[in-house]
Amino acid sequence: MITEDVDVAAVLDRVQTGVQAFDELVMGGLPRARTTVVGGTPGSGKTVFATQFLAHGITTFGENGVLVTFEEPPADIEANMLGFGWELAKWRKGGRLGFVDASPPASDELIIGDFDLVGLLSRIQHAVKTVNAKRVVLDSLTQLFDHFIGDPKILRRELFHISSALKKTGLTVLMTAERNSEYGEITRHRLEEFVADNVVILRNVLHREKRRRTIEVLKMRGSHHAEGEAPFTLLANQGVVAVPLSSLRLEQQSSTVRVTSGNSEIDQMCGGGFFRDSVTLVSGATGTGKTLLVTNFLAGGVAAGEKAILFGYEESKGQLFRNASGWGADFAQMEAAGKLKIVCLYPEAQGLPDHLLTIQSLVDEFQPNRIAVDSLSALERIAPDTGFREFLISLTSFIKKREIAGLCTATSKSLIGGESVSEQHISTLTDSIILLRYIQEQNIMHRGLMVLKMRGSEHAKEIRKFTIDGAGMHFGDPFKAVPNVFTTDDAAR
Amino acid sequence: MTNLLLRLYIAGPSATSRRAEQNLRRLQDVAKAHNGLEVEIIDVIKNPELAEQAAIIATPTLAFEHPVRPRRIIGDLSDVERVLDFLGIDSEGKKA
Repeated sequence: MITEDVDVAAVLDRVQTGVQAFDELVMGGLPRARTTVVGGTPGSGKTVFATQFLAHGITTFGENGVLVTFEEPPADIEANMLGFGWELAKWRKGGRLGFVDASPPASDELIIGDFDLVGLLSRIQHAVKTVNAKRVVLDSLTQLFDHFIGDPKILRRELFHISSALKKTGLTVLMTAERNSEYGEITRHRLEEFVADNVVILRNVLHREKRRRTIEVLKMRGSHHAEGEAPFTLLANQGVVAVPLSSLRLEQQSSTVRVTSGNSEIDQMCGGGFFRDSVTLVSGATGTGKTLLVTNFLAGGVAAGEKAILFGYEESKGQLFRNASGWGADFAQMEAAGKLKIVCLYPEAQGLPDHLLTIQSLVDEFQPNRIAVDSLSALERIAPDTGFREFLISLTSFIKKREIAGLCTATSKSLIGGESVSEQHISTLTDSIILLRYIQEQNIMHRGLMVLKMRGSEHAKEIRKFTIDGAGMHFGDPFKAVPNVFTTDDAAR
Repeated sequence: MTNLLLRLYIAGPSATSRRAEQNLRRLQDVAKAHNGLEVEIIDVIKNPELAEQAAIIATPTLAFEHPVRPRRIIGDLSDVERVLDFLGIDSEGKKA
């Protein structure tokens, strides 16, 4: 039989789902001519994911689809999915999408003896033929099991039969199934064991009063895939948008082009400025001058003819403008000239994945040369630990991928010395770290700045005294004998 | 008196479909006295659009197109007594 050969060749061919970051997790998309079971608790986004798979095929690749629905009638699905920008009704009328309505019939029903699901299969095949479909979705198998509740064995056999019959004709099949709990058996009735080449799990976990949606590839037969849960969100007019976990690949180019920090002294201390595609962390207690550094960074970029964007999570736009003008930078004028964009958001306004997507979409829209985030500590407030780490990884890799210069701030908890949790997370992810600290010398409190780390470059090692006035930051001499405030709490103890 | 229409949806030459056809013939014999029992057999593989119209999922399905209370029986109809009972046709051939 030649089917064996066809099968092997088909493994290499990938079918994009339309959830970009997910496709990256599975090395380009779902394998063609295979069956994937998508499991999730009610409300985890299974139908949206499945519909997106069809919509993406229709709109992007001219691959028509068939949607087999076991629960809602097609009219309801068409109405529900409009919010995501998918015009199912239009596609149906245009012959690009076929429906098979397999919701339970209104008439009385009795089951006597053995049966099969060839009736359903021939309807699916008929619909596939009518629209010349390449993708098929069955949503959701759990309703089918509930319909034939007394005969799970027959259903397993028959679903296996349907799955293999569809695959044989080169169709890529996606079946959804319900789960009882977020972390437990994979699907109710354990369907995945007999029909699925691949298993994907959608989760919607309540953690510390926040909903966290994730997608995980549990199994991908004969193929490599990334492990672990990737966060995603459901957006109007887009559907499922997964957040890429960049830990996957460190493929960014490293450039040796330097850009100014906005302060010539700091440029000097860094060996000639920041690298163009690097992320710098500025860490310091409140009032040590982090926002001033951010202001310099933005104004310096604009003065050098670059475009800059700031995401502020602590202060309002008005406050930022006032601060800047206090240091001689006219943000309003820069913004009017289209050189600067300032976005102020409450951290609590949305979840971290949504914040990340906001940043990404605004950066792609504005196309800045540099980006500042003030501050990471404010964002850290709203997320459970793993969520924050994922956010940082994604953010830093996004900044590097776009080859723009990034500056992030983190607030230390204690006024003198100490470290913040963000630092622990981000210190390995950022290329450079600048520490700002209060330093007591006899009866005077000074501010000190130190370049702690500068990946791939020489940098000044001394701690420089500085003052802040109406013209900005002024550096003095290095400290000669200072208490041990730049190391961690632990080391100081 | 209006004729009663039974439609049997089968899937080609499968074993269960053949059994259902045999059982339906037995059923017709038992209910012979009943006048207008009409039986139509539809192969869903040959006529998928008819299966689509009738929203057939499982095969064999016996559809009793009753004007007031349509009823369906899924399976090979191996228990003729239960089939008749569910359809409301007693073995003497009187319509219940």
